[in-house]
Amino acid sequence: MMRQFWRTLSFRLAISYAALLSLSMLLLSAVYYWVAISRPLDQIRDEVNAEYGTLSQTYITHGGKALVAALEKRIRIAGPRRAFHAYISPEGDLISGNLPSWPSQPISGWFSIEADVYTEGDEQDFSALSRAGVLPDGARLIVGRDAEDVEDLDETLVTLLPWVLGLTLAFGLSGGLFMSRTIGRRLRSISTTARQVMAGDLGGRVAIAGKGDDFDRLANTLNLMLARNQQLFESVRRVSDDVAHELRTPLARLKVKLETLDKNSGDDPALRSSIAGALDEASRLESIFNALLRIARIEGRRHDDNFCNVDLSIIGVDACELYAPAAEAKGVALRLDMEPDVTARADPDLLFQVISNLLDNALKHTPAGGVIELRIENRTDAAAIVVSDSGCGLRPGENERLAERFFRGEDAQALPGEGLGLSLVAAIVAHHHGTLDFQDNAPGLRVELTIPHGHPTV
Amino acid sequence: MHILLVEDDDDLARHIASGQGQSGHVVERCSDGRDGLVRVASEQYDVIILDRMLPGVDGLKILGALRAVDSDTPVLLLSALGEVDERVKGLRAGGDDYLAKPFAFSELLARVEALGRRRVAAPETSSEIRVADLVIDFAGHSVTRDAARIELTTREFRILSCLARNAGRVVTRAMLLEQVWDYNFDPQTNIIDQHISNLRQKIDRDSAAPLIHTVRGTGYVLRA
Repeated sequence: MMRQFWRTLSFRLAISYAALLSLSMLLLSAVYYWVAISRPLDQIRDEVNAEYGTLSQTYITHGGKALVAALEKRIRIAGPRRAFHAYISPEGDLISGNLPSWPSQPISGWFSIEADVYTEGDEQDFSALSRAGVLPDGARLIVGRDAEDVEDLDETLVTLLPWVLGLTLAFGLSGGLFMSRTIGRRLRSISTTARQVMAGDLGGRVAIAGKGDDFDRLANTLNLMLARNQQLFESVRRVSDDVAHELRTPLARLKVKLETLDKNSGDDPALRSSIAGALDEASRLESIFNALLRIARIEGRRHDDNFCNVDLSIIGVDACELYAPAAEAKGVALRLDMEPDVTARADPDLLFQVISNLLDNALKHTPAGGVIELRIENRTDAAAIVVSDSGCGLRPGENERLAERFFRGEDAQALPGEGLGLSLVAAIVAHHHGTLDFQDNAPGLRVELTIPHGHPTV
Repeated sequence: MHILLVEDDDDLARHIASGQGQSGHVVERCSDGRDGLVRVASEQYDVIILDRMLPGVDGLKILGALRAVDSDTPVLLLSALGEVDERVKGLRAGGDDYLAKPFAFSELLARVEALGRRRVAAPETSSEIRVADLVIDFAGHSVTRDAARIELTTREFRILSCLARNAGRVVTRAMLLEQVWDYNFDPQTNIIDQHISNLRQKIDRDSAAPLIHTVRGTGYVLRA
């Protein structure tokens, strides 16, 4: 269950966290690109465009000489971005220019040209973002401005972006995993406590981390609920103890009185038989009452003080020995089939009670000539006790109700019993963290229960 | 026998006292633990019957105090707490026997007599018990009747031993189960009856004078 949770919620949280982080990183990069690269380039283009317009107009209006003068003047004016140009005659000769190279064909449009400048052995990198055009008489004009810094930035960004994104994703994933593990750990602590309480330890409480966060608040609320439950449960238990006391004592008085009456009733057979009937009813009441109380006690029991490593073969042999004479008298074969060295962590008295109840049931429901088998087997992590009979078995749908209090099968109505034997078995098996299963033995009933070899100490 | 009954329920106490009286026992009754302790210090009793739940105190506390002054008077605990755990607790605290309410009076009587007699005779120490012509030899693990050896299963031998140690007194089914099967459990039926029936066939089969008798509604008794 924990693994499944790990696969779903925690993992999804981590992935979402990483995705969100990467998305914001992308967004940030886009904004940066626009502010630091895209906009400056546009501004340079706008400037170059305007300059080209003015210069070509100068040429058309005032001729080549004026253009050269304007170009020379343009270079001399110090600006934030170094100016570049090339003025080429229709014949292809450079008339004026400071660009080291240019396209050999007369084209119109934008391009970047390397325009490194060497001054006294020093190299200065420039990149001219240039506009080229062809003037009306076929002469060519190329005007540009340095955009080296912006283009460098562009190049760096393109190189770094995958790395940045990769790192973001890695950070996001590990951060997300850490986050969801922290959450998972605290959820698990709540879940562990819930299981502990379910297992009967009503005093179990969720640990509080002391950070005052949402989980602490949740833990506080849960703890308040658990405390309230414990309080209610204990008051119910107290009531049942009181009821036990308050009902058993009058029942004891009733029995004593009936017995005294029986002793003093003389020889009237009718009276004696009525008293005997009343005593039987009182005994029946007593046994129902005892059984109910016992089931309630075992269901509410949290401690396993009497648990020890029990050799099931001893209990199996003892129980069979107890029932063998009765089985023989009824003409039912009682078989015991045991694997060697089957042990379980259990309360031996309760386990004996379980086998005894199962054998008693089987004997009640199996007619003469039938077979009852008690099998004790070793399973991977539990000991299995299987009691099967060849009796009347179950009707469809009855097996789910067998462990219910006071439930008696259709075919068992005429037999003695109160319908509490299997409820007690179920309570004891649950107390041992075992499993209980009723199957059709065709014919008869097959009861299979398992008791863990060593049960978790929750 | 001289019996001290510590029981707060007047009605029940009166019936117990009158029942025990009819059986020839002398019953002194007190309704609280402190009074009981005072009496134990000044008087010698054969058996003390102590209710586990007295007003305001746990009978086990009284039992502890009582054991401090008097270590060997047998104590039978009565309780509305019939759970196996409670029984074990009671016996660990120094009780000699434990009986859950509601009980049949005959069950109480049988247990009180077994406790009282145990103290007087301590027959557990003898290696042989004779009842009429039946001889049970504990050391040799053998049983003979009229000098003829009778083969018993281990369990049958233990049942017979239990009856023999209480010879002449009623042993209830519950007492037999407690002493012959070492489990605290609650059988749904009178499963012990069939064992007695088998035992009877071996012991009394050829005899005109049966030794194992059924006491209606209570249990069994071994007597000539």
